[in-house]
Amino acid sequence: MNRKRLRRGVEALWEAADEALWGEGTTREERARLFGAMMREAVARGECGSRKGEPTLGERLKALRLEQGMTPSRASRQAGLEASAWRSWEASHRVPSVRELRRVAGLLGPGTWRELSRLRRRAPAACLARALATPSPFRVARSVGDGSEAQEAAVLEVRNLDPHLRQALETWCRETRGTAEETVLADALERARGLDEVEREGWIQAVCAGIQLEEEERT
Amino acid sequence: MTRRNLRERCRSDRDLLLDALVRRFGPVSQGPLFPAEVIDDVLTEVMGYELVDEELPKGQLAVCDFERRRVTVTTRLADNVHPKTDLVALANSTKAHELGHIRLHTEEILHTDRATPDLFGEAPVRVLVTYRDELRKTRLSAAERRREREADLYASIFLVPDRLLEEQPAMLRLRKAVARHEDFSSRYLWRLTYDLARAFRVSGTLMKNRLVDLEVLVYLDKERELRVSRQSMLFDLEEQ
Repeated sequence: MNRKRLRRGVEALWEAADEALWGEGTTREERARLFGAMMREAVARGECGSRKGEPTLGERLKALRLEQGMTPSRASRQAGLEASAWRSWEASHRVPSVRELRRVAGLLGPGTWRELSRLRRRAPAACLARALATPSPFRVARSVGDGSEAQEAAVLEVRNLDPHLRQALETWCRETRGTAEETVLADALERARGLDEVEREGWIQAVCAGIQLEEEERT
Repeated sequence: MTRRNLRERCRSDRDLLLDALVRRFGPVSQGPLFPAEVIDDVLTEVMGYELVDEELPKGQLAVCDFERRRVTVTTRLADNVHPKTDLVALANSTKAHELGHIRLHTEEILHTDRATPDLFGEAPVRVLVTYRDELRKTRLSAAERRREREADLYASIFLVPDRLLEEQPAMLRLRKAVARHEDFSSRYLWRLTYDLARAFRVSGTLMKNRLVDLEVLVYLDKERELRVSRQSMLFDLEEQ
């Protein structure tokens, strides 16, 4: 069996699963059902649904920009976008809107649209993973001072989340804890930091399952 | 390291980083290159750091995370300063200050200074926070104060190259007037400092520090007044 053909087959399967899970025609209920099935499968395999090895939107954006020999300042200027926004996408800190991503793809080459659009659907999960990889605001506050800024910093961390992500976290907290106060959201992030890698991945997927970027695409 | 050696190190480091950026991405400016134009690109493309804007607690200007290679600048700059302050210039100065920490203190932060767990038994967090608050600065330890001073010096040398400063009309005005032994009011010198700061897109404080470090001006801390340091005008700035 040709390894290359096998890899292409696996990739095509992933594409199809991806389209079924996140495609425009999928309803919220279908998505929840498909996502649940995929998670169960992944947990049984010990992978917890992550697609290990695949680049995030930010990583791919950076690679494509570097292929063209551009700095983020130059790329954003040429695409008519804010340089700080471009940097925040590359750092998996924010998720670009469809309009912004179209401009990016226009600059990086029309062939990149499909791939970037597909990666964008998983970008909120990458943003959440990135947020959890940063040191806890409580630890930072204790490390640099007397800890008096800890609570403020923790709440600000929630406010600094990508809007899609914050909304999803609010939904998750409302469903599981009965409230979506900022301090509760901050506590949820703090607790997620304490989970082991597999549990954390599962938690990220569970929170991000409610995110509907597609609504924006239709407008 | 003596201040003179540190200055020399900062100068050569600036040239090294700007050269690396130009070699990698081609010319970045049509005319003379004002480093403030490329400070973001130096941080991300040459140093490999992420640069993000986030809301930070009041009084904090920026956070530099050495382990995750990330610089975060506050989106609440306006809360910390006078309403007329040029926020882009302040952001440039803050980023250059963080670059100073990265270039001068990475080894110190990552490997020596905080090698033991903190009081809570946790592994140390290898971050530096830059505060606007003067009161906060007075609470720093001797080592932290030294690091802040060095990062300030690095930022001023990085953003205001000597030769470019010499070519500025405001600087030429000052030189001519000093040669004629004219007197200046502190107010006039502050205006001149801010003219230069605007040209370089840096904060007034950073430009004042640069002119004081070059011994062009003397700063009277108590009165917040500026005076001309006359003997300095006799030297070539690049030679100091």
